[in-house]
Amino acid sequence: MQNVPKIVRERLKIATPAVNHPGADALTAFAEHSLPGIERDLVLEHLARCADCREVVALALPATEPVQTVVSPSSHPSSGWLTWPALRWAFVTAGIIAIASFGILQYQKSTHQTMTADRASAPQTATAEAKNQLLAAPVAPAPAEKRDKIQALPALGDSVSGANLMVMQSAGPNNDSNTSPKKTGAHAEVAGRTRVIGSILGDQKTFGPRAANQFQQQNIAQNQAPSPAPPVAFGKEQASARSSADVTAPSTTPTVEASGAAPQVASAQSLNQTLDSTLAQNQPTVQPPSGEAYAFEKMSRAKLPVPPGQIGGYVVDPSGAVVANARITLIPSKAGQNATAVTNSQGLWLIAGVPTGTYKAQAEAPGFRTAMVSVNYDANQPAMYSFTLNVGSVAETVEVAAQNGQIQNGQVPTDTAAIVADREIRQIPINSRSSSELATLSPGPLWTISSTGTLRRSADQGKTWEDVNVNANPAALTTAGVEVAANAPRAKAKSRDKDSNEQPVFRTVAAAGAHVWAGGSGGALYHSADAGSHWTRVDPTAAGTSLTGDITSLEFPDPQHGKLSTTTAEVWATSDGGQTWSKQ
Amino acid sequence: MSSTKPISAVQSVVDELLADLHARSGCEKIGLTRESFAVILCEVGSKHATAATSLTELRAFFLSLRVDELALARACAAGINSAWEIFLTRFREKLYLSALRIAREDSAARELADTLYADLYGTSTREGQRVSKLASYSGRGSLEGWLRTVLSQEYVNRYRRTKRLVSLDEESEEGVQFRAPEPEPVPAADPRLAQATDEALAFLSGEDRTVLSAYYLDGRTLAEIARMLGVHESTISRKLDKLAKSLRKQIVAALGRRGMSRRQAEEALEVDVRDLHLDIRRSLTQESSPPAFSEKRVEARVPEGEG
Repeated sequence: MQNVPKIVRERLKIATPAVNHPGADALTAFAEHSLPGIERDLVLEHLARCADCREVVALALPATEPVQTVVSPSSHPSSGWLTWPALRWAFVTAGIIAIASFGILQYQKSTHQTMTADRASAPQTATAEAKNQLLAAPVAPAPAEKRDKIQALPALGDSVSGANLMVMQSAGPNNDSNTSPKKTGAHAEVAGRTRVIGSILGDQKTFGPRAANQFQQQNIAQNQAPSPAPPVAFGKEQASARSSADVTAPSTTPTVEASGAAPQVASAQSLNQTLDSTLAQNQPTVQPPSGEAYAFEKMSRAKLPVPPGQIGGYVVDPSGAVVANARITLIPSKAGQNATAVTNSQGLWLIAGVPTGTYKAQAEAPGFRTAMVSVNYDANQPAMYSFTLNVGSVAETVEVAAQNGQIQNGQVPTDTAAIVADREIRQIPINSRSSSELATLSPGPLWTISSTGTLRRSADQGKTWEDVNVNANPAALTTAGVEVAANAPRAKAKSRDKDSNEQPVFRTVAAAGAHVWAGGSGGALYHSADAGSHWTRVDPTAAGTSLTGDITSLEFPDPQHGKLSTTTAEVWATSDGGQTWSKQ
Repeated sequence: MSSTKPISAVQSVVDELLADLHARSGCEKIGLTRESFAVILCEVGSKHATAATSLTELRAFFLSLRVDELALARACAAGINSAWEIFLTRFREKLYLSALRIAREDSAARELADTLYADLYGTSTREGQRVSKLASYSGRGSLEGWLRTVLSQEYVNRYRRTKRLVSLDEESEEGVQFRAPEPEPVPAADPRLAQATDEALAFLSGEDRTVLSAYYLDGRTLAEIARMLGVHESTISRKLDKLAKSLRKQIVAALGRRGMSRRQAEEALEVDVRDLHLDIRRSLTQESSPPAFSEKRVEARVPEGEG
């Protein structure tokens, strides 16, 4: 900033002081830039002479300084700052690219190794190839003579990174091998390869559940042409299968290393024999895959790193998101024990030691429709059955489990109401309610309000939901209403509820034991003292005024005491179970 | 502003616009009748209008008024309780915050705001009538801005004046009694210089002089000046630069007209010990690097380039 000569300052200061100060009005209008031109000039002329008025104007500036000071440096100084966001994004992008290319390289490298091993068909050195085997395992069916290969399935832990992967190996029964079985289940523990495996698994996970169709197609192809001509990908698997891993037999602890020194056949066979035996007891015979293609819409069977004798898969919802804690039950068609599994947080389930046969696989998860498919399972084949649990219309469901009942007439909510019960227990905000109150909630039916304002009830912990029509039972309503009316003069059941079978739009529901309160638009407040079997409409009145606003929240910590708040910012409270109300 | 405009003209415009203005004012809510509102409008209008004001201007003036806040302020001035309730809920907190911002100290802010409240409520009486300061609000700016302005005026009138007073003790403590006697005011080197400067300043518009005064005399920041005038900071910065340059040129020219050679004129402007003193102080306190510094840097670079 250039300095003006001192004389200028002096003369400015000496300039004849103004006498007639503009009024507060004019100064305000000036500061707000709403003075018309001539008046503005007059004020400016005055301000040039009057230090006091300048100070007044400066002091009276609105308090937006922080904003101004933030804004001005960014616009004023040069572009150095402007380039920062761009640089940051460039770094982020570069990072993503680097990670992605690393992953791809790793994958290609491992694939390449497998292929090389196959072509060379030399005895394999064991440990290096363990991961290949793991990677190749998903591409499933081995030809008959190779069927007894080790199939490794990484047991997915809770973490996607797979940082602590333990590869569970178990062997399916081998109908080819007549050699004496050795009595060990094998666990190949692959350490140090977790990253690769993790990334591949990550691939599969995102890939698996969302590309059910693809799996299905592969599956069909596989089933139709089971053994003779495996595609190239299967070749990989053979090669890797030939190579063996560090195999730790958990029962005997010492590590059996099938190293390259061992002849190929021998090592493979010994391993096979080793692996076969574990589950051989309950797996007498193995049938080749039936070749039947499952055309279930809601079920897709795809290849997974599931070793023979194990059956697993994903459970996803219609949006492709995995469903955790879904319960999978395998029911043998003949006599036998049911096997159950629960999906982990990745939506993966796994059941080991399942003998060949036909099963019904049933998947159920809270808030979802139970899906059941029949499974023609070959213990020699890795099998993956992915369930898509539908919360949509019935028409899409393959088979509805009869024992579950209470499936609603195509109106099971597709909105969040369907999974409220599942999350309710875990995520209910208890800062305003003590956790012990959850206990009083849990034994009874669960209540929720659907997105359309319908009251819903679930008697089975949220598995199924039914609409509750508070006006559905006029007879019951009448009696209940009369009762209440007799007991409580102020809380009377309106007869119009009987006449119009129109459902009020509910907005909130509260339950305390068997007492259920539901409130909604237009002051609609319904009460049920018997867990929702009978309903009475309650019209709270206090001091001559009645409740008119929409009820937005209800709190009934116990059957007697409760309060509600409305859109009109009123709070009504009762301390006698809704018979009398007071407005707060 | 003299109210030479015939009242009838104002009255007619008010009558013409009353329906619209009344609808906007929300008088019913604060208990102000339509008639009294019309009287208020007439009063405001006649205070504003001059003989030269055309009817169109008058109309525009009325339409630009913040009638709702005007009605509220006048209703408060008239002592209507519901209006006071609205006023207090809307402005009490803001008033204290503004006072705090102005006084920068809590107790002073409280006192400032409380004084204003007393004025607003009207503690003084004239002819038996309570006189509220709100009666002087005419709705030309926002009520909030008006309140801030009134607060600032109050502050400038009272606190700044008292701040200037220094107790005798403090004076002796600060060693004022030992300091050197005020230097004799240096007689202006040349009366022609002052004349020439006045001439150059007289050429400037009020806004330019306001900017100069605010920046060089009051020490306001560019941002503050920019907000006062409703322009961008960089505009003020450019304007100041331009003004300083053109002033210098104008003064030199004016001095030339008064018989000084160009060199003499430059010297008269530059070689002033007081100037130097001030420049140093400014350079030290200023955040942005003064041009002298950057010039030095340029000089310093030259030998490097040669070497």
